[in-house]
Amino acid sequence: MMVMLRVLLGIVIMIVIVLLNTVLVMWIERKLLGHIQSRLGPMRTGFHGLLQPIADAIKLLGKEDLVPAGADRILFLIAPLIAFTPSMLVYSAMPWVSEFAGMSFDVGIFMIFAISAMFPVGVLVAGWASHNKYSLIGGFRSAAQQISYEVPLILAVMGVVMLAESMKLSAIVEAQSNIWNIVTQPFAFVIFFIAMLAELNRVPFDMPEAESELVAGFNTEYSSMRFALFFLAEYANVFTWSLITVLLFFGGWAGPVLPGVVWLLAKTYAVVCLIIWMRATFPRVRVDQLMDIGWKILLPASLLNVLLTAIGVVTNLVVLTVLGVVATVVLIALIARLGTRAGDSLRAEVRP
Amino acid sequence: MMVAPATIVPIAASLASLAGVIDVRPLGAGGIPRVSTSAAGVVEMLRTLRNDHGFADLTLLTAEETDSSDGVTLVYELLRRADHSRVVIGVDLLDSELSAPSVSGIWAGAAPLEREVYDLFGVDFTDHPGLSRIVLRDDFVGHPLRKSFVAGETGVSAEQVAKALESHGDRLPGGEVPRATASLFAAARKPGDPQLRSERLILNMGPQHPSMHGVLHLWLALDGEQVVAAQPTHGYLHRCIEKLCESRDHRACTALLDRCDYVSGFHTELAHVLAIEELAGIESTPKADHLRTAMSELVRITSHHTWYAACGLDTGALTPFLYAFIDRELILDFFEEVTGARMMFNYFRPGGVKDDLPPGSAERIIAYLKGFTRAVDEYEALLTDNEIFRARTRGVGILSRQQITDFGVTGPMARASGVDIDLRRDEPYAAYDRIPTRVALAEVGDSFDRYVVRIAEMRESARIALAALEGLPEGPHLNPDVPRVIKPPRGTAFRWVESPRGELGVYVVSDGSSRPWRLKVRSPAFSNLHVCGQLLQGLRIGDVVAVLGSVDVVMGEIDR
Amino acid sequence: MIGMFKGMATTIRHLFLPTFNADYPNTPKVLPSRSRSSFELPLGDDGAPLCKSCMLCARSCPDSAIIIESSKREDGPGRVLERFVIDLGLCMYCGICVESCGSAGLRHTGAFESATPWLSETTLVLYERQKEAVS
Repeated sequence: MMVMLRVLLGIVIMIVIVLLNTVLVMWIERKLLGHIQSRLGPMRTGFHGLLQPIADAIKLLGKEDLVPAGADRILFLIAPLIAFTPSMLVYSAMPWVSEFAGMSFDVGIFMIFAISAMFPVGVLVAGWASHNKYSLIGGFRSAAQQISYEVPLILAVMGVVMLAESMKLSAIVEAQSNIWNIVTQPFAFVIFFIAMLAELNRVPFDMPEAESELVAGFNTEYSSMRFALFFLAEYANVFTWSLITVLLFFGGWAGPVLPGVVWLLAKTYAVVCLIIWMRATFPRVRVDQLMDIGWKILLPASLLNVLLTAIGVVTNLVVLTVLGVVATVVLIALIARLGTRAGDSLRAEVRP
Repeated sequence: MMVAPATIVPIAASLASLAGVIDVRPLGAGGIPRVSTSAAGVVEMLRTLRNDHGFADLTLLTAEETDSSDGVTLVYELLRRADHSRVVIGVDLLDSELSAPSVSGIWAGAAPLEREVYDLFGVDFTDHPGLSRIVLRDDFVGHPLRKSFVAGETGVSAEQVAKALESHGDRLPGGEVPRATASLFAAARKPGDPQLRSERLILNMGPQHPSMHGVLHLWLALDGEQVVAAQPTHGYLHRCIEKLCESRDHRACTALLDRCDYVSGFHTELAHVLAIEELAGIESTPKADHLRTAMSELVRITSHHTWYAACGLDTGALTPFLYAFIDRELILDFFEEVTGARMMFNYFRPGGVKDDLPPGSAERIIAYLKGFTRAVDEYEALLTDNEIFRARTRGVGILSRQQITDFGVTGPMARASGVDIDLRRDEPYAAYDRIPTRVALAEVGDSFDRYVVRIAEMRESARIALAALEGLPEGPHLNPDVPRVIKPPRGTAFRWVESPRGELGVYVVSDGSSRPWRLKVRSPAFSNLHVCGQLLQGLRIGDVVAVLGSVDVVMGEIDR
Repeated sequence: MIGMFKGMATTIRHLFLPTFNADYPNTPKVLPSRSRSSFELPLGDDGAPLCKSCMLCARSCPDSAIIIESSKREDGPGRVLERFVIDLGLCMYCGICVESCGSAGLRHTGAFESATPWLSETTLVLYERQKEAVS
């Protein structure tokens, strides 16, 4: 009985903490985007619009929960839940939660991948059930994208796992107590970060909801709280994956003087800001280019990383770092070749 | 390179020897020869002029009601780029037989223009690929630009609507294919991959769509993500500006024409004012010429700002929009200071401009323009150099020279394909003959080249506006001899300006009263849009938006 | 890749610049004096409007948005203005009325916040002669 209570309490506390952080991510995104774009962002609700996400939620709750005619009613109604649940469920495998709630997984990182692979199912179901052409295209795009990028994402993490010799997240963090994985695994980090952006449907890979092409993609037909669930799930994912990035590559909660929680959150929000900064700068790639990057560049690169890590493990870590940096430069050059067109200039000729 | 009146005589002489000519006389005071011919001979005459005389561009296809209201005169204007000579061909049609052969076999771009004439005048074009209404509803009854059409008259019966639907052939009961989109539906009905048993999808993009530049509506036949056929549909922003002008005096017309191309109002105003000046024989003052030039160029910059903003958004970049709008806002503030309005200026007048610059304004604008290059550098840092943007735009939506002549594409779109045309240099108006104009050109003609050309034009426009303001002559801003109410003598005037989207013309027919008998705006964006049907084929959905963004459509100008 | 970093440098630079947008209703906007905005009928020294009811503005209005009611002056030539109404629902702020007024009897005020949820409020009654004054 006590165990049950502890688990329940753990779940409630976890969800509250995650949702608070999600709300904070939304606010940071709006303010940061605003100031980067010379705007102010939300200003009316609370101090510098701090309560804006809550005001939005209240507004959304007050809206009519529409189900379009011709929609597959049951699937339409449960799709947001399918998308939202995994974004909360992944926290069961996070180190501190698992210890508090007594659910310690030895395959933590594997568990996280397994659960978060559910999200595109929700998106696909939403796209299919909406009975809307834009939603359908958005749903299919999402499915194709997430399947393509899951592979390099997991393979990139393989390198980290090989170094830590464990899939348990707390073990991976402890393995970085001397030197962060970002130093020994720069190549894996670049692959991981690019694939992560695609997993999160963030710019420059926001294909499934590309608003200039597909109106709002898979959630075009959603309104009210069901839309809010999709919205929450996406921002919760942004926070989650920033957190995982920190755990895998930036030494987790390690840091001098300040308590571990502060370091962990500070690093996580730094990654969140980087993602937002990229959103403020980049255009979106095209679907076929997205597939090209995923299958033709990132997948071989992540396999190469496994090989490089193996070489590094048997020789020494300096070799691994050097190899990683070289491979990263080659990878970036390959991706940068996308926009080239043989033999012409980038400027117009100005003739009198 | 302006055509001096003396050179018209030899052209007129050679025109008189064409087959089927009824008579040749000059059109208004502009010195353009006008050839009358019969409906039967018009196709042959246009083909001869295109193939043997070098008049390769159909710049205008419209109609006007005859003086006695017993019929309609079709008006075609052709342009020979080599010496910039123009010729107008008029075809008188009587109400008893409102029919003429279609010239879409010679210029593919004539088809939508003929649809417009059919829509507004009721002229039936034989051999037309898909004659149906283009700006008005399919169930509309009547042809509003005829004088017999009473504006605002309701009381159309259901039977009339049904009859109209039947005879115009669009949106038919029983799922039959509308005529205008028949080819598109045919493409969509072809089966896809037999092994995958895939089906094609028809996607109605717009008019309610975040990146349809207002209310454009695209029919897309899709095979997966790929477009197999595309057709633009428009008319959702049709405000009958041409009809409204017929019941308002010339000064009010200028105010209405601002609303035509709402992102670069000065250009439509200028073409109209130049046409009225030509009709009424009014001279503008040197100071007004300079102010007109400076304002036209400033508004070109703001128009390109809007395009740049949309271009960024269409490829998925959020921030270019905001950065462009900062600078646009600053220039709009100058406009408000000078003209009293930010977009609907109503500033140009026959004989000059409404007001002189307020004190200090010229200095402020000059100071701003001197620092303008830095703003453009920033735009370039965001998009030109960005690899993703390049990957999205290079080699996408390539426009060929053949398509440019066929569809009458002008402006930056034509220049991006290496067609060296610019009316500011070739047929200078206002003060462009005093300020050297340089033309930005690119070679390939893809989305990226259209982007690059417009960016270069922004820099050029700032330079021209700066030169016009720095060399601002002293003197009156408005010719004092201009009467309060202008009643131009009977005649026709047709004047062109280079708008941010291409060659914009205003065609005014005066019957001697203070109101125009017919006023037609030749919209460059109309032609630029209709080439998209071909341009979008084979692209992916994401590219459709990116290419449309590079075309720079302004629905207000297309629908009028 | 250099281009991407150039873009990121541009955006981050703007983060530390002051914002261009103002906090609008809290920082009011003052329009330039030529701005075509809402209308008013200036009054003369005697408290009567300068408007001579000559109807030039009403006739030149492209949208026929101006309605002027006037009566014949009892003590001499000319007319007395009874009522001057502009239907802002029709008005397109082209400024032709102000421009055509020969007696500076109509001008713009600089007030531009005339948005309203009520159609009835779009009718702007600029002048209405008091009935007491007539009797």
